[in-house]
Amino acid sequence: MIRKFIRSLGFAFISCSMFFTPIIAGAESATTGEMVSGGFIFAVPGGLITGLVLVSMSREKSKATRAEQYMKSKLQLKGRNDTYLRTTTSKTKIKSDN
Amino acid sequence: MAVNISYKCPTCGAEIFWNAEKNCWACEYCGDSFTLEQLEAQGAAKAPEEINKDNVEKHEEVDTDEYKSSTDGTVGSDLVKYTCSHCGAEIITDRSTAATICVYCGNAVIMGEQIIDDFSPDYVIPFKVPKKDVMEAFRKFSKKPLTPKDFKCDQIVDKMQGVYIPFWLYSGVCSGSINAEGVNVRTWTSGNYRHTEKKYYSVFRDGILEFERVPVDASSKTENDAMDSIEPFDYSELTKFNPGYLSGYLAERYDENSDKCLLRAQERIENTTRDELKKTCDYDTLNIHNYTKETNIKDVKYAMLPTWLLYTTYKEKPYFFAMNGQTGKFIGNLPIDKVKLAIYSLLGCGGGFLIGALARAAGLF
Ligand SMILES: [Zn+2]
Ligand SMILES: [Zn+2]
Repeated sequence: MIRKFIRSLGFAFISCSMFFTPIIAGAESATTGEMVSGGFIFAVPGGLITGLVLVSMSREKSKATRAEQYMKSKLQLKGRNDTYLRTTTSKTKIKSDN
Repeated sequence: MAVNISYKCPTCGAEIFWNAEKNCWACEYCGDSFTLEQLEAQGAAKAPEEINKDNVEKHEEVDTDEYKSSTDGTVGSDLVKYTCSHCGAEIITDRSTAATICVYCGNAVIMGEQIIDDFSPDYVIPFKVPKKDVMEAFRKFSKKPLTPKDFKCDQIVDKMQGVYIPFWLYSGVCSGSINAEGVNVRTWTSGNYRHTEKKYYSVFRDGILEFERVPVDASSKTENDAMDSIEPFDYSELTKFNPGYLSGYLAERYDENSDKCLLRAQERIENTTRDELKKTCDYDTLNIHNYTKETNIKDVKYAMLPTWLLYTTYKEKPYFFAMNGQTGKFIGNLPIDKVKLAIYSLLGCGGGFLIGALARAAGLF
């Protein structure tokens, strides 16, 4: 499951970066400095994700921890109970007061 | 008592073997093929009791020191020796492996005491992938982005064996209950503020879940992780065991009994029961405080499941791969080319840089 998720995440990421490459050339709304700093924030995770995905593709061995293929029928619920306990609320400022 | 795994061709009398491709017993000499029913009807498949005891391969205890160097390291010290009745060759194997084919003359070896009693399984899934297809499948499997260029499948395989691996199949019921705290979160903005509301619930679920034939490999010689990974097997092809299916392959005897392996089945069953109980709780987040479970195993069956095992050496390091002999699924950890990994990771860095720069340019952060 996790392996699959990492893989699809990685592929989505790689295809995204290929798709956006031409667009970025035309983007002029931000200054070059801003774009470079933005780029550096994503560069390391990009490399890590790519590396992880590719390594996971070469690894096809893991301990089985689940048995969902071997369920004979669906779960039979014998009892269920949902009791409301409490509510908490909080608020955070997102814009400064004018 | 001994078990004959060697059938004679009813047409020409030659020895016949299980043919994975044709899904029946086939004769290499006259080309005829037979189903188990046909063989039994022709009297080719004798019942175990009818076999003349003198024709059975006798096995002797082996002085371990004498043969230590000839084994490949996967074999334990408990060795036995068979003498092939066709060519006289000595076949050395450990007690838990049943040699079903003479490696020297290719004739079937009639197994002696090893296969009787607790060896004889309830079920077998016959091989479906023939030996000639394994290498091609391995080549395909090994084509991964990080596989070194000089990882040449044909050259690195030291040993390729069709082996029936013993599995315990557990059927039973798990009853479990969870006590948990469920939280539903709602957020909204009004004015200059983002509001977050969390509603807490005390959650209880109690249920039972029935499982059928959860497999656990019963041989200590095969890595548990590897055998877990070649699942699933298609149980619709599970048939009543007949020793004839073993002809031409190796077969392992279980050396971990069903009580010992039970724990692994139980863990899987109980994890899945917890997952299923969780699924009935519809909350944004759920923290399980307490999970009580009881697994009741009602039935344990012993089955022989087909695998192709590949022992390989690459850059003086051993690698092990296995294939599901029924479905063709390949597993194993391939070697990784560090240079390739570095290059691809750098490309990934570049991609990340572009995304970051673009997101910045678009004002996303
Ligand atoms: Zn024949
Ligand atoms: Zn022989």
